[in-house]
Amino acid sequence: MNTLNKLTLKNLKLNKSRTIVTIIGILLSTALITVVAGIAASGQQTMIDGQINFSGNYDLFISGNATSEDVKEIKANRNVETVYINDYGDFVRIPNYKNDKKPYAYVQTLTPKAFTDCFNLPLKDGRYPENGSELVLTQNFINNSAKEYKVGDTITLEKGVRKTSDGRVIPNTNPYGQEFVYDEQEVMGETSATVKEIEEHFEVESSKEYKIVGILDEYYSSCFTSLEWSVFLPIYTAAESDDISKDGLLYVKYTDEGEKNYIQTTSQLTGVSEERIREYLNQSCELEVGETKYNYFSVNTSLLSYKGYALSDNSLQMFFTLAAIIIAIVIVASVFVIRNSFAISITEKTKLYGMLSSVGATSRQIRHNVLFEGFALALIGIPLGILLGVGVVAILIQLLNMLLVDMLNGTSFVYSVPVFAIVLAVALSLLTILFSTLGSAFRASRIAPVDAVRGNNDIKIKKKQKAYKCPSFIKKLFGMGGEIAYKNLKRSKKKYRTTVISIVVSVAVFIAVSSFIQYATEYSSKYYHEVDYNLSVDRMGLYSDFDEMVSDYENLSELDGVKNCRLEGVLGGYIKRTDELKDVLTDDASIYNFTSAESDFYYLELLAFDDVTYKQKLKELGLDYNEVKDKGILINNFEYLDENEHLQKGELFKADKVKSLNVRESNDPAYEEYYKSADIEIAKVYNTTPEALKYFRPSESDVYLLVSLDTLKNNYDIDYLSEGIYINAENANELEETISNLDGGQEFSVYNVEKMANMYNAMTLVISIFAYGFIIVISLIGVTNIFNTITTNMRLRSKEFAMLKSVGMTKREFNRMIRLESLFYGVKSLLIGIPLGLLAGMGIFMAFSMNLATDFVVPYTAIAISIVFVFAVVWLIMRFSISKVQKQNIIETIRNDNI
Amino acid sequence: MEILRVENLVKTYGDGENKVNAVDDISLSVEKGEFVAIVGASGSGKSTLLHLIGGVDRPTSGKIFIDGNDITKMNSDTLAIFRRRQIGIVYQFYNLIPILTVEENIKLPCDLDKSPVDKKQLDEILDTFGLRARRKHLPNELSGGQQQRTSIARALIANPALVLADEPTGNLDTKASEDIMNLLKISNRTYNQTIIMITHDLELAKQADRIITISDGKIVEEG
Repeated sequence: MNTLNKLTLKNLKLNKSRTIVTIIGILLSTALITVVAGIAASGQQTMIDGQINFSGNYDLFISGNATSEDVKEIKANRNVETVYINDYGDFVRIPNYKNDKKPYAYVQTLTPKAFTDCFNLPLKDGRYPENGSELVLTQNFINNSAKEYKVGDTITLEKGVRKTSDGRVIPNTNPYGQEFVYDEQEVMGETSATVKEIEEHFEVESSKEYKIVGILDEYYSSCFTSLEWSVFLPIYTAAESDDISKDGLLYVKYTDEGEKNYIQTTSQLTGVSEERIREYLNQSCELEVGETKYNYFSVNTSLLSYKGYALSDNSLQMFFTLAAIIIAIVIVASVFVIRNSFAISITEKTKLYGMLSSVGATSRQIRHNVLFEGFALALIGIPLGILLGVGVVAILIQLLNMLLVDMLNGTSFVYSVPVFAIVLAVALSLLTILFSTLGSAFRASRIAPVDAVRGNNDIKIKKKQKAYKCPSFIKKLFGMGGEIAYKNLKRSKKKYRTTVISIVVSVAVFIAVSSFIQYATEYSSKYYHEVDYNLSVDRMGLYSDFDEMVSDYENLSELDGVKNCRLEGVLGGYIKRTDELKDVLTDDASIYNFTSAESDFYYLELLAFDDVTYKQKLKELGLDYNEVKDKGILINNFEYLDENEHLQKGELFKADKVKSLNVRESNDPAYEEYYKSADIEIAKVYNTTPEALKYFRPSESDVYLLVSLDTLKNNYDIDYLSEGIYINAENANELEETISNLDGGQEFSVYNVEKMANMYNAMTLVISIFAYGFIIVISLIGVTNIFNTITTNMRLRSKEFAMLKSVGMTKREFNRMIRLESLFYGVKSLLIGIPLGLLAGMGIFMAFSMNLATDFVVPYTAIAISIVFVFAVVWLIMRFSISKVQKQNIIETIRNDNI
Repeated sequence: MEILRVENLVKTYGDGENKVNAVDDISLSVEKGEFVAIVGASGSGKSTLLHLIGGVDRPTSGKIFIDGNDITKMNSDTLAIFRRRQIGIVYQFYNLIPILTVEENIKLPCDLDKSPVDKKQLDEILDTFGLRARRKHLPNELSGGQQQRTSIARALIANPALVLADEPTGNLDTKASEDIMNLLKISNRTYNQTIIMITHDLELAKQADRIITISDGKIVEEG
C-alpha cells in the first residue's frame, strides 16, 4: 500500500467517531436499499409461488387434439424447457364405493416430473408414482371406498364404460344416472337441455393391478378441480411415454428466454399469429375455429406478469414504482450523508492536501486518495449493511406472516433475497459513495498548495468585503457571543448549509411519510369500515312485524357476555322532486345519487335504533327525546365521484330551508297506491356526520334521516326494512356459540366481525411498521449527517473558540453563542423542511384523493414532532461537541497547528 | 552553471484601488551550489517570491527557469511532479504531516514519486540530522528544532536542484537556530546543494554567499 493510502487509513483511525458515524450512514443506507429490494423480491416470489400453487408451474396450457408428434415438436423448440402431460387414462370403477353418485375414477397419467416440478401435489403419505403400475390415491377416493387403502397395498381396478340399459354409451362427464336431452329449438342461439333420469350400469372391459405408492392430501387448483359435481374422482399414475390421447392436456414450461418473448414463443407453438395472440390475451377477441389445431390453449399470464415479463398487472406495477420511489429517497438521503461526511473530511484535511501538494503530490494522486477513503469506508459499511438488511428482511417476513396470518388464508410470505437484490444494493451504495466522493475528490485536488500553506481558506472574503451587520435584537438577546455566532453563520454559509440540508431532508421525509400513513390508515379504515361491534345478528328479513324484531333484540341483549347491543333498522325511502322541494335543494342535488337523473325521486335512507340506543344517541347529540321523537334528524352530506374520478363531498338540502320531507317506501309508479308514505318533520340538520353517529352511516353516497323506531313502525311496512342486531360481546366467539345453541338459534345468521377487525388492525400495523421503520432509518441517517457536520465544525473552530476565551469570553457567553447557532440551524432548516414536507404530503393526498373524500389535513403532530426533534438533536450534538471543546487547554489549542 | 533564472517576475493581488504588487518586476539569477539569503521587512514580498520560485504559487507575469525549465509554463500536475523531484521547501512552521513518523515524512516526496528511496542516503541524512533515534517518532513528540531538521531532511531526500527555506529558524531559539543554519551550510557544502533562504535576521543572512534585499516587491540591494 502506498504512503497516501496509509495516510488515509491512519486519518480514518484518528477520526474514529466520524469514521464510525459515516460507516453507520453507509451501513444504514445499504441496509435500507437491501430491505426495500428484498421485500420487493420476497413479495414477488410470494406472488409467483402463490400462482404456481394455484395454477401450476407452466406457461402454456393446451387441451385437446395434441398428438405425440406435437409433443415431440414442442419439446424440440429451443424456447421450451419441458412439457408435462396430464392425460385421461383408464376410466375405472371404485371397488366397494360408498357414495352411490360417485362410483368411478379416472386414472390420470402424469409425466413423472409433473408431480413435483409443475403441480407440487401435496403428498400426505408415501411417494409419487414412477411408472404406470404405481398409483397415488386421493383422500376423496379413500373416503369413498369401503376398504381402507394404505401405502403399499395393491389394488385391482376394473376398466370399462358406462352404459344405459339399452346399451348406449353414457359420456363420462354425465352425472350418475342422468342423461341430457337437447331441445331441437335454439333459444337465443343456445340449445337448452333437459335432464332425464336413466338406469346405468358399468360394463367391465379389463382389469389391472396397481401398487399404491402414495396418498395425496386434499388438493385444489385451477388445473385439478375437485370435481365435486362430477361422477368420477381423479387418481394418478405416472406416464411412461410421451403418448397422448385426443383429450390429453399439455402444460408447456418455457425457458427464461421463452418467457421473456412469450408472445413469440406461444405463436410458434400454437401457429397463431403474434398479433392475434396479443389480442386474445388482452381478451379482446376469441380465437376462431381452425386458427390453431388444438381445441383450446391459454397462457399463464398471471405467472408471467408476476415474473415481470408481462407487466399488465397494475398492482404489481404500483408495487415496483413504490419500491423505486423509496429507493430514490434513500439514495438522495444517503448521498447527502456520505457526501457531507467527505466534504467535512476534505475541509479538515485542506492543510494536509496542501502540504502533500507542496511536496509534489499531483492532483490525480490526491483525487485517488479521496476515492480510496470512500472505498475503505464502503468495504466495511456495505457488507455490514447487506448483512443487516438481509436479517431485517428475514425478520420482517416472519412478522408479516405472523400478523397477516388471517389474511393470507394458509399461504405465507416467502423469504427471498435474490443475488440480484444484493447486487443492486451493492451497486447503488457504491454509486452513492462514488457520487458523494467525486465532488470532494475534485475539490481536494484543486486545493492550491499556497492556500494550504498559508492556512485556513474556508472563509473567503470576496472582492467587496461585506461587513455583516448584526441585527441589534440578536446582540441584545445573546450578547457579544450572539453577534459572533451570527456573523460566523453568515460568513461560513457553506458549512452550515450541509447541516441545514440534512435536517431539511429528514424533516421533509418525516412529514411526507406521516401524511402517507395518515391517508393510508384512513383509506384502509374506510375499506374495512371501522365498527363498534364484534357480532352482527339477523334473521334475514323474516319478521312479520316490528314487535317480533324488538323481542328478538331484547332476548339477545339479555344474554350473558353482551356488553352492549343495539337494533338497527334501515328503510330505503324516496322523495319526489316537486316544485316546493326544489326550493330546499342545494346545487349539489344535481349530482346526488343515480335516481335523480332519469326519475323524479331522490333516494335517502331512514335509520332507526332501539329505544335505549336512540335515547343514548340523542343525549350524545344534545337533543331532547320528547321534542324529536316524532321527527327526523337529517344527516345531509354525501360523497360522489366528480368527472376526474375524485371523491368529493356534497350536501343535498339547504340546511336552513328544509322543514319537512315526504318519504315513501318505493318509487315504482305502477304500485303507487300500495306504498306507504309519511311526512317527516326535520328536527335538526347536520352537514357533517356528528361524532356520535360516525359508525352508523348506511352508505356514504346517500343522505339519511335518523328517526325513532316508532316512527317507522307507525308509518311503514316491515317488509321494506332491513335490520340487524349489533352486539359488542366480551368474547365474540363464545357468544356466537351461545346464540347458535339458543332455542331456534339456527334461524339467526351470525356474523363475527372480530376476525375482520383483527385483519384490519394487522393491516394498519403492517403499514405503520413499514412506514415508521422507514422514517426512523431515514432520520437516523439524517442524525449521522448532522452529527458529522456539527462535531467537525466545532472542532475546526476550536482555535477560534480558544481565542475568544483567551480574550475573555465567559463560559456563559460562550454557551449563549452556541445556543444561538443551534437556534439558527434549527429555524432555518425547519423553515425549508416543513413546507417541503407539506408539499410532498399534498402530492400524497392527491394520489389518495381518488379513493378518499377527505380534505387535505395539515399534519400538525408530525410538524410538532419534527420541531421538537430537530432542536433536541441539534442541541444535544452541540452540547456533545462543546463538552469536548471545553476540555481543551486554551493555549495548546491556539498553538496547535494540526487542526 | 546557472540553476535558477527569474525574469521580470510580477505577482499582483486584488484589483483597482486595492491592487498590490507583492512582487514587482524582479529578475535574478542563482548559480548551482550557491547559498543565497533573501532579506526584507515583513510584507516586503520575500515570501511571495519564494512561493513563486517553489511553484506553489503562480506569478501574474514573468518567467522562472529552474535548471533550464520554465516552470510558469507547466500545468499543475507537471509542476507537482517537478516540485517533488527538483524543489525542496522548508517552512517556518515545518508543515510536517502529523500522523506520519519522522522517517515517513522524510520519504514522502520519493513515495509520492514512487521512486525507490536510497537506503544508504536515508541513513546518512538521518545521521547527519541527528534523527536516527527518532525515526519512528511522530512530529508532535519532537522539539521544534528536531521538527525543522526533519523538514529540511525531507527537502533534501530527492536530491532537488533547489532548496527553498522560508524563515527556517523563525520559530526556534538561538541554539536551535544555529543548529539549523549549520545543517543548511553542511548540505550546501557537502552536497553542493543550491539553497535560497528567507530571513529577516541579518546575522544569519551574513553566513550566506550572497544577500538579496527586497523592499515593496523590488530588489533594492544585491550582493
